[in-house]
Amino acid sequence: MGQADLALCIGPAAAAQSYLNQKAILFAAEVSGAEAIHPGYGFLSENAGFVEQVEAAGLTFIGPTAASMRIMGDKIAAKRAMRAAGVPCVPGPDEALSDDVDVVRAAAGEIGYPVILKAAGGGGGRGMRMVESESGLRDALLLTREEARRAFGNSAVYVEKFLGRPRHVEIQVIADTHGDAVWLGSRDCSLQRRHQKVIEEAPAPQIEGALVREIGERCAEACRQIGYRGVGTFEFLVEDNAFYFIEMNTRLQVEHPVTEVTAAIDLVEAQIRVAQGERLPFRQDDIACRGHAFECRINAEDPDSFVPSPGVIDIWQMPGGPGVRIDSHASAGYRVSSYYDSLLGKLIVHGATRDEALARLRVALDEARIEGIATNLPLHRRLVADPDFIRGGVSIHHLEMKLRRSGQP
Amino acid sequence: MSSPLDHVDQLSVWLKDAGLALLELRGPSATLRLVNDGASVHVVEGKESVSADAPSMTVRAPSPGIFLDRHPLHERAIVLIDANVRADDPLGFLQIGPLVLAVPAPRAGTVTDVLVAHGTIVGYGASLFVLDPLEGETA
Repeated sequence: MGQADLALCIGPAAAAQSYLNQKAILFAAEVSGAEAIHPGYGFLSENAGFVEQVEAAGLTFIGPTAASMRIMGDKIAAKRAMRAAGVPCVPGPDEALSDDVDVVRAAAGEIGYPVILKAAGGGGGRGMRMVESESGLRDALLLTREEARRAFGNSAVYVEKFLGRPRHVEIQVIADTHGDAVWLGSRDCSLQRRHQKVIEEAPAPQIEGALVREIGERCAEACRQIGYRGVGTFEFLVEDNAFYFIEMNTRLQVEHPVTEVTAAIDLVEAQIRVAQGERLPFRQDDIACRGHAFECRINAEDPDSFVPSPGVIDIWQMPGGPGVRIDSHASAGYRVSSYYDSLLGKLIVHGATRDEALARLRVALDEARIEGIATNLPLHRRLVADPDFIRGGVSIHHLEMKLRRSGQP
Repeated sequence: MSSPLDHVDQLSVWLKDAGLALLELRGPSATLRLVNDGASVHVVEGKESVSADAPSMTVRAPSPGIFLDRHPLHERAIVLIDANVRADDPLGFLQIGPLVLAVPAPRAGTVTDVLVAHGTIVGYGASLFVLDPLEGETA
């Protein structure tokens, strides 16, 4: 923030009165003479109403249209749009389930158990319930519907095939306002705990290049069809070499640096250029994946209990050298607030091969030193020595199973 | 649920440990205000409004804006140093595009300093004025 030309406080620390206060952000934009608003990730970055407010104020929103956000925010509408564009989805109807339990039973039977019930207004792992057999369907349906109504104000629920040990693989896209869209590579974010990604990598290992290309092309085509603009991410579950679309994030993502270093593209710069109305400065043929990259999310939290650890950082020593990048706002003397997410920084490494990148990651993690507060650095050091992770291609349940085996929550 | 008033001792320890200057808990029936002056933590009697005999206070910007010491239609500053004001009197304005928001005096007092120049861009919480108690009302 110290490097900004102008920094304006928009409210007290509580997010509801500052980062989620649309009026305060628009006031700050007006006062500072800003012409555009970059929503970052989190907070209002996927809020269609905010996009409309920004545009009504005569400003440019650096991101997709409100209409695109609304389609992708409704997971059933998103699935329908993806099927129409030829993007493969998880087996199951792309419509809300009826109140008639017999109809639901027939739909679930056709998919085959186990199935998963999902809230149309959910996403990011929220509002889901797995059903193992027909006997549990009725209760699970009532429960999921009621939770969805309370949590998202939308009781619409849909049913999909439950995948037992999938990987989380995503495709980065960018589209301009002239009808052009390209995909920029794949990322594997399977190492998760409670749906929070811990380590991400690009490209997704052990998936045939031709398959990723075909899926990537379909994602880019979907962007053209729905008139998408800006950056976005198509998230898939991948099992037995098959891709299944789960949702699209209509914003920049935390893990975007692994794509930046392997595609050699500054995604934030590209976002701003697209928002200015420029054409994409590259075509699909210009995009190649160079080498391999990893990102470790460094969180201010206890590495065993995962409880957030706010406080003052006494020592902040970050690694360096070829292929090592640190994205962080923190430093020695910085006070980690208890008001916000515990993400302190991102350690990104790049190498010619996955092995080289992994070797650099191990050294970098050993060199990193943060004292004064607890961080998850010890967890990262353990994970990069895990034989399954070293082999690559673990499922989204791998980390939680590993933690459970070692008696952690 | 137990009342926070039963836990003043524990709250005081936490306040000291965390190095926080003030803790204010507001409920429908009561307000608890703990002040940590570095040496000790003490309870300040809870009234929601700022009492007239508190020592000098800083009036802060309630929103981002361009600070104006006068209304755009007026030629002269609305308050000068040493002016006496009543509670809710406008001390200055924040301009946000076509919008002009008054910055009201939180209590009666004497303006002893104007901390920001006319036309300065300020953020939420920026210090704008120093307000002292009216003479003869000092505790």
